[in-house]
Amino acid sequence: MKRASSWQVYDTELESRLFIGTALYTSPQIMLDAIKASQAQVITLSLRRQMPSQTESNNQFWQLIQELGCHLLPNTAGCYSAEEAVKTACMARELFDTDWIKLEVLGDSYNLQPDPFALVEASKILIAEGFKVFPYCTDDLVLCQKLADLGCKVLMPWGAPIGTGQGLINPYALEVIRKRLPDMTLLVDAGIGKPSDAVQAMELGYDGILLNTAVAEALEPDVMASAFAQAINAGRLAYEAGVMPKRDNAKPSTPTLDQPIWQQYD
Amino acid sequence: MSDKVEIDINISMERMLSSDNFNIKVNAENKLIKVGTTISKLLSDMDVNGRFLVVVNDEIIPKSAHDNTRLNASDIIDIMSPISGG
Repeated sequence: MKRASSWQVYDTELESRLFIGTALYTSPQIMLDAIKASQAQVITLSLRRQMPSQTESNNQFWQLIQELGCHLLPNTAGCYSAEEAVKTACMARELFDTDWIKLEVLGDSYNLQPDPFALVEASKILIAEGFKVFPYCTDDLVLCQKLADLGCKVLMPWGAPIGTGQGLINPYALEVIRKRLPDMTLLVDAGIGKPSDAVQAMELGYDGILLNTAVAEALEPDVMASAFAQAINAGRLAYEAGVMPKRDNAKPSTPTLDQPIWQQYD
Repeated sequence: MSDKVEIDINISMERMLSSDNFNIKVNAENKLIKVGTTISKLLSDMDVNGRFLVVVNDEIIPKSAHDNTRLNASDIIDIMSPISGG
């Protein structure tokens, strides 16, 4: 099977265009199997105030993560202010020994919608501190432009609210971001429910997909992870191959010239 | 009209137990430790191992400083660990 071209994320070359989360799996082994099946090279994870010695599962989790050998993308999940997010990012850098940070600053607890103002504020501080910021943002073009102006090399607008599996609620907005920021590395993060959602995003020209729930909550997470890997590859290949333009009128695909029975109806 | 007298129970208990001890908070729980306790000693006493990060009063303390950093009364210690995330 032909694979889509490799790509770069903050100077790191990657083959897989799928970033996958480590949460919500029913067991550590199911998580491990799913991540392996996804062929993802970047995994997301987080940090909390917990005693490693008091939570054996915590140490087991870290051992499995190391076994995977993937690039780590820690998040600032659960932060509702720029200050909290910056503090969490600094702790994540020290704990995970990476300057990559998936920046989440939420503004509303109902749909976990990112706060665009706090996101810009936190991005500015973190970029000045040398972080490589992956902001989880809404599909607002002007917000994306502001984040790009600050120095974000990757943007991750949502397809739909986290964990909803609703797919791309506003493909028009995502397409406009792609067109207006042609050189930006773009991933759709959150809301992807099924492989066809991922194909749709990749066909729009998005560089990658970040997802978690759609795989973790599948009946067979490893099989779903494989389905997403193939879908994302297919979507990217389609984008690189060049999708035909839509037409209003039908156009026969079989040549009509010299058709033997035509003359009977002349 | 009666006068009220407020007593800080934690401080009083500390003094009753020993003047060589004081209270700190570790992951939001009170803990009585001896004066001069370093971060390394605290972690050892609490059997903390694996991958973790120590934050004292909102300041990240690198591992290289654990042996030499002595804790003070009322310090707030957070021990952070990796968890799953999306």
